[in-house]
Amino acid sequence: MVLQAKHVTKSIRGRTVLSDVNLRLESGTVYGFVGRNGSGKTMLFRALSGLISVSSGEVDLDGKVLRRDFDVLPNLGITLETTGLFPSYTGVENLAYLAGIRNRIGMSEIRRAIQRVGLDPEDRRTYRKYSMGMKQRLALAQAVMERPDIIMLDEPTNGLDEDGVDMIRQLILEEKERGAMVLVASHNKEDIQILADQVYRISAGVVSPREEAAL
Amino acid sequence: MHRLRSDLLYTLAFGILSGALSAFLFVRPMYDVTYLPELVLQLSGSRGVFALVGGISEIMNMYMRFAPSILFEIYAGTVMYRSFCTASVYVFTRNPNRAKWYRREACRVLLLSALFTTVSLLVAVLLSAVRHEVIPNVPGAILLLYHFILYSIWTFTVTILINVLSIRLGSYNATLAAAVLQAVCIALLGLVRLSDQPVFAVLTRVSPISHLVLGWFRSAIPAVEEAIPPVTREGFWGFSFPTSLLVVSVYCLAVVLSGRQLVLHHDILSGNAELDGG
Repeated sequence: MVLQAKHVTKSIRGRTVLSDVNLRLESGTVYGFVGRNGSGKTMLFRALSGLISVSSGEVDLDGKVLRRDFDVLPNLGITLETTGLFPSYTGVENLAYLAGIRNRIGMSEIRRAIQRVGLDPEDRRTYRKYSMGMKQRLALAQAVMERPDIIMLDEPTNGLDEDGVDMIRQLILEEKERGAMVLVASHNKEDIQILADQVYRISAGVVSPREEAAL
Repeated sequence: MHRLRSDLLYTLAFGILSGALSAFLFVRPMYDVTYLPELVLQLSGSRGVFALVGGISEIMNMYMRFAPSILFEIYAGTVMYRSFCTASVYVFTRNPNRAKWYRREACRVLLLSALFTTVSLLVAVLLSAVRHEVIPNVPGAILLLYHFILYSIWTFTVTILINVLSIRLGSYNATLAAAVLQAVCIALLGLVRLSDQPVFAVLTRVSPISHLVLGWFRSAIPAVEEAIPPVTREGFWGFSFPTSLLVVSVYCLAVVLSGRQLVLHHDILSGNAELDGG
């Protein structure tokens, strides 16, 4: 599976947030994206996934063009920093609601995904009572529960304790071993050093390859 | 499933409330006996045997009549929009075809709108039958059907409008815009007094709310025509069900198709449109 961005530019209200982005990303690889807050990491994930349209250029997956042949990447798992889940649902209910959209997995896979991120599927607390770390773990569980081909994780270790960070790093490496294409955006250099096979730097919407040694 | 059950329960509650209010506030038979056509006409804007002629009190009455529907529309106005508020990223990355998603959600709103109108009508007729003597007949059943169809389409149109406007403006502004729009259309009913002048006749005819006043209808079916009191305004020759259905459907189609375009091209930039300001 090959995901390509070809001369992708996105402008919002006259401001260029992504500028002539060119990428070729393949399955079974972890790609790291580093950059300051507001540099365009999250916007890149939105553009690559299809959540936003691009102003010029195109994104294609195995030759099929995003926003022409499909509205969002098929079989994608994603977490974005600012996105919450349903506050009045428990963890299991939240994931069951989302899993119900594609209807590919059942309750056993949902419970397994919750266990993989170190949460308890029997926990009856609603999402609004979760700590920041628990919310982060649940977001990661929803991203991987359907065994997606492409996984985009925006600051995946934010708000996690040391054990949590180790667990999530392990989960990312397991997904890579499974053959998924994993994109990780982080300002945590250690995450990128440990996880990424290839690293890109983003600055003011410009994406450029960066050698691991230069981190 | 949980979401649909909750939507159905709320819709039933709004329908019962709307029907009860209509039965107690607007159905007033002269001698405690009413024929079904008269009851239906009262539910859709007419007072007693008199057709609504556009006086201030009739217009205020019409505002009151729409109040329960507006409550329902505010509730159902978030049926689609909810997906843009919470977990929008996770919902839309699981829907590879937004047009299909929109179609499904619009059908859900249509179902809820039709259910609301059905329950509201049923409760209004049944409660009226308990309080007074209601004599059913065929013209009454036909008018009831007209009322159901026209009000369902209009409620659906306004509800979709609130949903799609909310995506751009937020739910508060969208609800306000829809309420103002309906208020203006109700106020336009007053222009029927001036409908001997072409410009006002046109305004009366293009206002969708005018087509919900069954007392202004003429019918090719003799029994129905006989059941509707004659419209006495000079220059105003009444509506027919097919043309009113066409007018209301055109508005409905315009809103549904514009909404589809907006949903297809909307950039999901925030995690929670309501909290992040869209």
